[in-house]
Amino acid sequence: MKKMPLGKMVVCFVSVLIAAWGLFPSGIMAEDKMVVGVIAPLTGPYGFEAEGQVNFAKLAAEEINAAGGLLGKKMEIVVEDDMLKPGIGVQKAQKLIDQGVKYLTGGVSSAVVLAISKVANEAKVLHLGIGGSNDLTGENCNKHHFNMDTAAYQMATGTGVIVVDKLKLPKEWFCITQDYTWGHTCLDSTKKMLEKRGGKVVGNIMVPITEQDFSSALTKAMSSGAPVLGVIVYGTGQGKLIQQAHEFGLKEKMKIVVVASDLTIATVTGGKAIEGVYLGMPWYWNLDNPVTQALNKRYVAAYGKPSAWPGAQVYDSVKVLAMAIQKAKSFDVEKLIPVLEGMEFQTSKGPEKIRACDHRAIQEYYVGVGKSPDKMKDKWDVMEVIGTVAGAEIMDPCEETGCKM
Amino acid sequence: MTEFLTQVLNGLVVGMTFALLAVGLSIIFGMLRVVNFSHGAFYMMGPYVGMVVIKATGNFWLGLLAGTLVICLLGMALEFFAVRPLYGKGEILPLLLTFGASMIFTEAILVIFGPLGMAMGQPAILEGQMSLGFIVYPKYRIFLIGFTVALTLSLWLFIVKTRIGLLIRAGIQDTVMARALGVKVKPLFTLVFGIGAALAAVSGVMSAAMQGIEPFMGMKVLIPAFVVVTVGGLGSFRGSVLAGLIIGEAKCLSILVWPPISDVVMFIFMALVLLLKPEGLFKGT
Repeated sequence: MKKMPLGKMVVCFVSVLIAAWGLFPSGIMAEDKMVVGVIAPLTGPYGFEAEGQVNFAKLAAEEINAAGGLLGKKMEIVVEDDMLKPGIGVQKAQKLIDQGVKYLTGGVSSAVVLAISKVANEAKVLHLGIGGSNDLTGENCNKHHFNMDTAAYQMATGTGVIVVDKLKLPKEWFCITQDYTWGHTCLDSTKKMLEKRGGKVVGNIMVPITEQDFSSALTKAMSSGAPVLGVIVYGTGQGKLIQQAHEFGLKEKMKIVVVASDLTIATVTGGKAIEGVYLGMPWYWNLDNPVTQALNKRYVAAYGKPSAWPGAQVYDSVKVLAMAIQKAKSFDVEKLIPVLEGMEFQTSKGPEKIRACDHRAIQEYYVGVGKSPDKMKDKWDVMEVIGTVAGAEIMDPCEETGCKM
Repeated sequence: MTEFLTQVLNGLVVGMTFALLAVGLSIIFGMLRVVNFSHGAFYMMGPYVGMVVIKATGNFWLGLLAGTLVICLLGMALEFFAVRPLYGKGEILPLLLTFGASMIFTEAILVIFGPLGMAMGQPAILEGQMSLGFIVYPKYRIFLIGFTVALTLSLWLFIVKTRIGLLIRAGIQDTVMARALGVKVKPLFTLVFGIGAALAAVSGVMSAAMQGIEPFMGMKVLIPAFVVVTVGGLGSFRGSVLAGLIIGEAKCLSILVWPPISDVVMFIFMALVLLLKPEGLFKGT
């Protein structure tokens, strides 16, 4: 074997050292700060929401630190990308936990949040995850997981109360659903909501979570004869679906109701696509509420444009965590849990309360209708809010959630 | 009946997109014996270039042209500088190289444009639906079918009727003999790589107008492209087109029967073809 020249050996050796240094977790737990980890799908179809979550977390931390920090410590936000994959989410969560982080938040995909919540529970780390699957605060609830998002049943019921009860839209829906835990539970909740009102889901088609071409699903929906299209698709796919529905002229035959929409559609649709489409959301930047208006103003001042509701919910989570720490006068996770249960707060919209039995936030739900382009002040002004439902009206009773803590 | 006809048309849209992609991949393999893993990246970058031009000029057609030309040149540059030194060294090295190139391209796009997807928009004159007697169907999709069929036919005529096309077919059939007969094979290789890349870019721009642009759209379409090429026969133009259409139709029509199977139907079809006719549907061009 040829002898390697000295120069090459040195380069190899130094590279190995650098690589090894990179592999070992650096100490991020300094004495004067406490760290909150945000794990969000920055890469992929939920990137817009994830970006909002990171920004809102930083905004909340800035405000908390400007007000003096928490029990003498400054809050620091650390960000990880879960790439919308549960395996990677778990890896990143474990990485943060190994570095000593005790508070995790963020998340848009319930599948990823579910996986992380199990890891967090085992490590006895507080997880203020954001995820709409009923399962997260149902069968798979655990005492370390708190969820400021609306569960699928809150979304479906909230949308139903306004769209069916108030606006009297027909109760026979054909649904297009994303094929994963949130989609499935939301479809179940939508079925329940319609059946309670004497209606039903006449047909459903499942699409993969990353689907971008809905032409076949929309064709099936249009030929079903149902008067309403229920859209249980989230992220950029939702915007694509609405855009393609417009291209196929679907709105001439069916009303479109999106059970859980969000601002991402502003980045994906154009022209008249969202006009007349009913959009359900747990938060919207332009809610007619002083708390929301003030928060949005601060956010836009810092980041240039408004964001979607998963971000606002991370803001809620960070603020709620700070409130709990200050109330309990402790950073100890086990001491924070009883303080969080039953906590009332109002940080991004109407008043909210964390329910003790399943750790879900009782909160208002809103439905808007998509605007026509000539009525939009800018590309973010996508809808007009036409209904608000009180939080207490849309909760499933504790016994029905399947949660046993 | 309406639903069936609509799905048939949807299948043509998907099928022609696959066909264009597969033809490019197939001729690159047939002629250069290079498994081009950066094909998906070309499919993705075409619309990004196109979108930049559309934003600057407001013209969709200029965007389509720009996307195609720029990626054609990029493909040729990749072949000239990176793939050419690897000829004669087996099939693994160019595969690895194009794979690495695709990662570089994707990361570059992520750095320049960020991870969020964007809308591209369709040309104004193609907005809305058109009545085809029995059914009403979006104008843009009808245009896509017509345009891609015309493009495929023109390419077919080019390959079959022109001198350069003859040289390309000779190069695919027997590179050594063609070279021995005095054919300048190296510039042909570059040209074929460029054509393949251009086809991927056109397919990308046409799809992006319906589905938007995002950095990973190329990776998602690469596997279907390889499936189509495998079913059609590596190096076969006719095979790629036919296989593309069959698989596109299978994907869309299977939704009428049992929706969950539409994602796997192409793999089932590929397995069947490989069991019965391992070299694919067609041999040769």
